[in-house]
Amino acid sequence: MATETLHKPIGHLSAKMLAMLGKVGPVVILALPFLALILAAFGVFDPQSGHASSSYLAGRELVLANWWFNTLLSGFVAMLVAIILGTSMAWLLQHYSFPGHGLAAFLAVMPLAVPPYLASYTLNGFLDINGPLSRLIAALGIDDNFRLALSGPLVLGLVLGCQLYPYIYLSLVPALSGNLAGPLAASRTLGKRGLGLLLSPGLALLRPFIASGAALVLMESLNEYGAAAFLGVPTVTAGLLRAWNHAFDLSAAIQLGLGLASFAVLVTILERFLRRKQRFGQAKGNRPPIIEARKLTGGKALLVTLVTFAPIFFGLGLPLIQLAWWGLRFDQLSPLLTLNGALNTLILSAGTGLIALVLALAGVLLPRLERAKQHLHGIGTAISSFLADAAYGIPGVIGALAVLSLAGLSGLSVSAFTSGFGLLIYALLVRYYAVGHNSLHANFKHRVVAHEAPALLLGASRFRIVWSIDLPLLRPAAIAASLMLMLDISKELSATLLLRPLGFETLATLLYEQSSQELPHLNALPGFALIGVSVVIILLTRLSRLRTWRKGHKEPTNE
Amino acid sequence: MNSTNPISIGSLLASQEKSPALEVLGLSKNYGTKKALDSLSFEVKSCEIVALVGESGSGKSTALQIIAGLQEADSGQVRIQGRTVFDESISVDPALRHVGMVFQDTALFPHLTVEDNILFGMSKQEKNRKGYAKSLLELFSLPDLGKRYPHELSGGQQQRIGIARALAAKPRVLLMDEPFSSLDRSRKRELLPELRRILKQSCTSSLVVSHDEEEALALADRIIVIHQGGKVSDGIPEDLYRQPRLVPVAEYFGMINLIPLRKCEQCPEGWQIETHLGQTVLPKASWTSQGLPKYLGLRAESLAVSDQVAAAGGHACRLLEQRFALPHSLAVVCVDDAHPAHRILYAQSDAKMASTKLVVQADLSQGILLGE
Repeated sequence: MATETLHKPIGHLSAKMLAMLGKVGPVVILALPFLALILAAFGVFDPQSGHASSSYLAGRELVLANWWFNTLLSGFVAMLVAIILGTSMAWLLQHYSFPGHGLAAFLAVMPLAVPPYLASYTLNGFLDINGPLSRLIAALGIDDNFRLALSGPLVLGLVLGCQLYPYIYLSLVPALSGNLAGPLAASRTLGKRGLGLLLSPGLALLRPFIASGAALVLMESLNEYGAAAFLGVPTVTAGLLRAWNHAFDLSAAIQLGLGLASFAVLVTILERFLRRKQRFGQAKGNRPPIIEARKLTGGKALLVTLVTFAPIFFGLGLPLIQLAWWGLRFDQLSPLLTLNGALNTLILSAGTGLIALVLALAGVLLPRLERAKQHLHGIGTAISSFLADAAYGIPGVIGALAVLSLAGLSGLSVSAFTSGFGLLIYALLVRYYAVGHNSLHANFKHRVVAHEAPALLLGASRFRIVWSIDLPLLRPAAIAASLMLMLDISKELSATLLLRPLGFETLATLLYEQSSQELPHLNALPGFALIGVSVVIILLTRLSRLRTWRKGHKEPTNE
Repeated sequence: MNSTNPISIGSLLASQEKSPALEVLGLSKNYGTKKALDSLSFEVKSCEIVALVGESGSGKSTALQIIAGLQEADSGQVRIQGRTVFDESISVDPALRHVGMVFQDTALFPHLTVEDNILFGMSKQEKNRKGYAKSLLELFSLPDLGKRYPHELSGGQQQRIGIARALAAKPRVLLMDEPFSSLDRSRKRELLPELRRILKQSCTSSLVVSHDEEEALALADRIIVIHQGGKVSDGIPEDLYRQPRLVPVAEYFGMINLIPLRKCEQCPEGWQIETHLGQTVLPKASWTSQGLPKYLGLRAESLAVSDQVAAAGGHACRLLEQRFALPHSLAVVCVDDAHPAHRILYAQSDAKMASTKLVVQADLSQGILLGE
């Protein structure tokens, strides 16, 4: 069929090349480090010691099993807690109105501003003998020496769940007010209400959205190093860091890393499988019915208020209280050190976020320069979005490790202390590319691509379409995506810890260092600063979402 | 005849000018095993407005997409002003076909003002572009909306801007895909004559896809009916309404009783026909196609009903339902118990039926001979 294609005269060949670049570039950038990692694991090249078998892990099968047990147990508990908290928050806030509803809806995602390692420091600080709880009990004359020191995989899971439930919440809220509003309204007219509505058909409808949120929670749990170390839980990630940073056994680290990476790939596949039906649920342009929130009063209202505020208290309130407690009762780190850390955090997150965003934009938009209809479902896009998803689940340390393997392969120095910004940024990029890519790609498919045909028929060239239609329409999503990237990178600990140049401190590394030296009470300033930065980013994200909604994407009104 | 005579070149140019705005030749398209288009051919002459109608799934939107270049046909040819834009060996980029398109959902660019939307497709060489945009807005009686954003407009205003935007690019042929399907009836009745006037004034050759017979009748010079991907009828609206010849065409223009023909023979006066409602002779001109007709089509207004059993000479029938319906004051549905195979009849009446026992009198001379 149609063997000849007439294009606008400008840059037929260059358009093809740019399109190819957009399709292949992200795949190569994401896949290279992992390829290097796999090669390293099979001893194809030799970064350090001459052979790929590890001495660190030799004869420690039981230890390894224990690490995996802790990793899986804490990850599972985190997922369970996050699903329960996130689903109940989203469901209650969407369907009921009660005292404090507005505040709860405003604060619901804020626990994301508190990274799990900081939450674990403040939790144990709160229960410590010098903490507010112990002092209160002493002041009441009940027990002068009350103290609790929580540890273990269950506590780790609980802390992770309390901080990460917003991933579930954020995945459910748009679904509940969008595609699922119709079926849920229909179920109500068929006589379902309250808990019955949630159990059936609620959970069945929510399942794909819960699954994608839960996958994120699990991936973040796998990645957590700071909280696991502080709560004394030897996970695979913690073991990996120890093998590398303390035992200097790179091949052991690579072996562990490949194990974790395979697990992340498995989770990605599982998540995609659970989510496969989600696309059938895309309502096309129809306005979803507005289900008015039911007003609750009396005991029910009190109960629902308590249920919705409890996660907010544990995820945000308690850390803030404890930081304030430390700040008021103990000497603190110099504000200059904190300021320096805050600036470094901002520069690193904004810089890396920007690079990731540009890369994601190129990945989404460059293929549009070529004339074809299959891009959105093309194999290149599929591979790069799968790789991005899997990479997102792979702990930052492994990203770092992979990038180092690549550096080793290309003959660069493999010393963790001289790696500099380049490798750090690359590792963060590999890990967080998914955040930018997925949200841009989804937004493009649902909001933007439909405007290409009219522009094309008005005679616009492919370059002009990308420049003056796609790019501006994608702008609100791009701003939101870059903010999300900034949020994640600001909180990132493990890769930053390993790859930062000597003397480069971010807020995350400052917090980690005080705590690992048993001085968590010095954390008030950097803690507040990190939460402050994150809250500002979350608020900006919300603002940019609001703008998206206001400008242009509203349904037409009738005359 | 390779003369270099300037006159003959002139006449050649003139004949090219006169070549149809759009020619579609033998377009076929399959989606897997499903036939979307089956060797569809038609043309739109210069300055002509043609409506492409048919039930949903008949392939009319697919045809539009292929003409615009947003989809490719499996085989066939598309020519715009005599220039081939699609065949086995060529597929011109949609951006270069000079086809204007008006979309069902307006598809205005949400990030551009109304004025910038209209300017988007306008040639950069055009002098006084803003002035032209303004005059287009005035033409559509929306002079003050230039600085607004699409979401600030009503559905009807958006749709008019969508058409203005397509016209601003001076398309060689304008394609419209159910342009008013999202508007309510009164808004539609207001807009249709306005649009026809503008298209005719600007001599814009247009092809409009519609499943709404009111839209097609109000806009088009000519109507093409497609059924299962192929053209079944092509003619001016009045002819199609009066002599649809085929069941899908007749049904497109509204409810029709299909009375099976028991007998149909040519006789000196015309066509001798017999149905269970009676027999008559229809003039020769009422069937000129190949083969024999299968049905006598009777519109509701050709059936008179009465609840006076005494009114003899009619056909006994039991009332099933009567309701108020436009354009008739009463639509009556009754069951012909004597002929269970084709027993439901739709008739019209001015008076409410008092009894369920009715007598139907069919004016068979009003009947239309139909093939399948």
